[in-house]
Amino acid sequence: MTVREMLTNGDFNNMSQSPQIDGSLLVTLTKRNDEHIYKLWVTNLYQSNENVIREEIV
Amino acid sequence: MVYSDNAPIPPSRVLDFLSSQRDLNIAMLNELKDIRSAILSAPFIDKQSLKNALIGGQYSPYQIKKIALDTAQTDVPLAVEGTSISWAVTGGQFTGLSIRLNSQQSDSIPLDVFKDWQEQFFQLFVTNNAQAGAVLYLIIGRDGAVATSAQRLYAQDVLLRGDFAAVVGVDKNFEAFNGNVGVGGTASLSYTVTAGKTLYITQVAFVCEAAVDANKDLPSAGGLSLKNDTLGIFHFRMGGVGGGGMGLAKPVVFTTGQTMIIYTHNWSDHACACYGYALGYEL
Repeated sequence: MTVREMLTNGDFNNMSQSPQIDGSLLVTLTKRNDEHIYKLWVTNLYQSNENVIREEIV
Repeated sequence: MVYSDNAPIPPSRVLDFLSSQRDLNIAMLNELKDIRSAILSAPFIDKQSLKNALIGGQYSPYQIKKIALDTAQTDVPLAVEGTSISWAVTGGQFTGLSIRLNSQQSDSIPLDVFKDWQEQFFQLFVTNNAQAGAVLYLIIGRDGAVATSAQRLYAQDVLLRGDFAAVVGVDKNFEAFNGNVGVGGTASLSYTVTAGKTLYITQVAFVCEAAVDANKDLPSAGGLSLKNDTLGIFHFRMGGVGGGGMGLAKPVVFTTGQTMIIYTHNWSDHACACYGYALGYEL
């Protein structure tokens, strides 16, 4: 499952959104009992021209 | 060897007969001793104490059946009997769950309407809708009523909302952050509620502080707004210097597919780091 799909499915407990210098939006998701941090860089989130730039799991 | 009451015992077999009778008598005597010992050792001579003593403490007056609700099922038989039954759900809801007792022709008992059953039954039929990750717990009593205070607390909404969210693991916490918001600018977060879910926001908070150390001594006024972007409605706005927060006695509700936006405003005369929070749960 991608980080974007996690967002769609509500599969997280905590979400943070922060704009980045390059104009993208960093979406960070975490879950209870899961030590991973799920990161998604995206522009125009939820818009018809949404563009997922990168995903990262740390 | 066994001899009937009517058949004569051959003389050559008398010793065998007496020996088998002796063994039988010893076995019966030992059982009577066990029963006597159990009765004397039980602090109260009641049905439960006697059962506990006779079965060496292994007897349990109840059992719990766990049923995963990931897949929808209809009238699945469960071979279990008892004298009472109650129910609880984790990670899901009672809506769409029902049981029939004893027969598939029995009337269906919707679990979201009733709380328990307090009579003898000898078989269950379980029906459930699909609820990913949810588990149905059936607490089955064998001798009288089973204590089901936890389930009743849920049903009566006695638990605080935050506690409830923590127990069932559906808490949702959102943070909008921007480390350098210009004068009059905002940090924001948007979230579209998952299909089939409803989001309840029960707490909000914000922080507004100067972005650079040189301005840390200045008052940093800011605010927070919570908007239903789908309906175009601002549910409320709050403001203050430095930040603030509150619990909401009545949750702000976002239904499935609706988009929530948190705005954190910089109302001061210098650039600020702005944090906005909306905390709640999703069912």
